[in-house]
Amino acid sequence: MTQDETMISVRNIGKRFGSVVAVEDACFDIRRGEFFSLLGASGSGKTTVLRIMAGFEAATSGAIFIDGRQMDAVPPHQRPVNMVFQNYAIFPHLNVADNIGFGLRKLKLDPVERRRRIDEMLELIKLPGFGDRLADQLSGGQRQRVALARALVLQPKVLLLDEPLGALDKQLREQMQVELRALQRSIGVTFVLVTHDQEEALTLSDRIAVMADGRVLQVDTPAGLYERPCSRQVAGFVGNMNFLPARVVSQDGGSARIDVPGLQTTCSISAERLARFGSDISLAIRPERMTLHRERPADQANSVSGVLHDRMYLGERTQFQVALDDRGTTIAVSSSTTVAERLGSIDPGAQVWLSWSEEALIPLGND
Amino acid sequence: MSDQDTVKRHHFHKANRSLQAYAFFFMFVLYAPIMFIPLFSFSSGLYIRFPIDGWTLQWYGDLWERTAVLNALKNSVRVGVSVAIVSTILGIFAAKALVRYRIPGKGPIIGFILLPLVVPPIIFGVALLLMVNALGIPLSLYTIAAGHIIICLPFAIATLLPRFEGYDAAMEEAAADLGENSWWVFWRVTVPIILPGIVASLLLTFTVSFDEFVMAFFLGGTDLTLPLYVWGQLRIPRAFPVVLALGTLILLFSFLLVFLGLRIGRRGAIKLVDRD
Ligand SMILES: Nc1ncnc2c1ncn2[C@@H]1O[C@H](COP(=O)(O)OP(=O)(O)OP(=O)(O)O)[C@@H](O)[C@H]1O
Ligand SMILES: [Mg+2]
Repeated sequence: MTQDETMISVRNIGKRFGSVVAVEDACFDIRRGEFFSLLGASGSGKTTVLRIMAGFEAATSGAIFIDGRQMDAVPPHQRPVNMVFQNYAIFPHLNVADNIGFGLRKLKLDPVERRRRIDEMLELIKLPGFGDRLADQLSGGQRQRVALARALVLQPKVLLLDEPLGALDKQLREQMQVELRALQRSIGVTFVLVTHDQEEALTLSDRIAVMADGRVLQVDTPAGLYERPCSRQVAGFVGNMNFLPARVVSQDGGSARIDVPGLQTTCSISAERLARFGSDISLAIRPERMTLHRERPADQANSVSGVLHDRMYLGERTQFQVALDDRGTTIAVSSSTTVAERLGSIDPGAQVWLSWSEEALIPLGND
Repeated sequence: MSDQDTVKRHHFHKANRSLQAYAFFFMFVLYAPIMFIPLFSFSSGLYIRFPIDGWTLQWYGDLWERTAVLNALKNSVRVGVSVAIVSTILGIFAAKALVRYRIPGKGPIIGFILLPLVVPPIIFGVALLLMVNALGIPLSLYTIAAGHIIICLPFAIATLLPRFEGYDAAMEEAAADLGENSWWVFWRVTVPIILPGIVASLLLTFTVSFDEFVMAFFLGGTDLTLPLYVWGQLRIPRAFPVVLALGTLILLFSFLLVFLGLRIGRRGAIKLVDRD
């Protein structure tokens, strides 16, 4: 990545609060105009990274660059970033228009121009005519939009969002996701979003950094994270995943073969990856990468038989639990409901077969 | 406060007889003695005794002809206003620091700050007098004001603490994030949000200083505050009815200020219009 494409560069950032390590050696770059997400469970350090970017916390170690400029000594009010706070922090003593215009004081605009910019923002967030309302006369979704407008009116280089949709109900959240994405596309500002909702991160982001216990585990595109998770932790956090015990059986030069007793199969792995994982490995496979059959599939080398345990109707998809013939490993298989219907009714306890293609098998370390 | 009010009202509605009687008895014991002051301030006789000789407004008229009263009033207001402003400003900083920063041993510190509420003023008075003498500072209205600030600071902090606790620190961060330095954040966000607390604190601290006697007695020079003047007049029997009239006015005024202060302090954020 060239210097020009990088908007934020996080270099080996660490942060401790007393004895608590909130962030440890975080290192990644965010591209110009990118929708970037920090994804992780509660307490994984996402907010802390965002607050270090905004300047509310000083990193204990490492450095942050925004648009090529080192930020360590720059106070929050001088950084070219703006933030949408988790609970929006709408000023209760100001109306919507003055909330949005709060940051414009320094630009010394004449009242007409100030009004024009505020109206433009109200238009953008689809709340025209709401300028005179007070914060406590707004719904959750409206507050969220005002917080967005208040930050965007200053034309920041980066917009930081801390769980901006967390307080909204499911339906409104999905609607706001669509709007947020469209907004980011249309104005082209770099967005950095903090979320613990993997679905939200997958649908919104260009790239995602997955965090756990203060460490950045992987930075990749949604598809990259989903298809090629670099560790068992990431694989388990993003989407559903089956994990099966595996062991290395042979190793020659550039690649090795591992045996997966549960699936009665072997697959290959590059020696380089194997070196990273160590000898303690497992095999991961997504439920939707497996196909369920009533009869033994003739044309599939990669197949195994088992006993159907359970069948769950999830609307668009149907999920099966299959107990494999070995020591009772249970595997989840998911197929679209239309495909599942073509199989007809299968009673629990019936013998079934599973098949997969070799590319679907992902060897992972057991860290 | 308001909770207690509603609870009380609730019981009254249910007509809990014994509780009602208790409440009246309580109020009577609390306020009956004080009521003697306004009562006899309208009595035309020189002495406190029943039956009342006759009714008059003469003593109130006499008040305004005494320059000493007006002088003492002026002194009290000057001390009260300065004390209110200084202790409220100090109180704002103290309350903000206590709420916003992680300070080890915060509980004991708050207890220590509120200590002057329960330590007899005479202790502080004597201690300050010793110190002021040792430093060779002449006694004046300034030394009275210094003593009053010590007494008033706990009132200011106790009034302001809840206002700081009542709003999200993210408000101030948001203002900083939108480009304001800490000075502007303070003026554009902190002050408007805690304004009811500031007004309440000003009113309360002014009243406390205005009514205070012990510190003023120890630390006062030749300039008298109103309570000191009243004390001086008590020795002159002829002046007594005028003192009662003065006392009635002080009582009324203090009651009004405290009532106002509590009302404002309890109310939600004043909606200010910021045109900037
Ligand atoms: N001001 C602080 N003082 C002490 N510890 C803190 C402070 N802020 C955060 N921490 C700790 O740092 C860790 C990371 O916190 P952080 O708020 O970054 O997590 P998060 O990923 O945003 O979690 P959540 O999803 O719950 O918001 C947590 O263990 C938290 O307890
Ligand atoms: Mg957080």
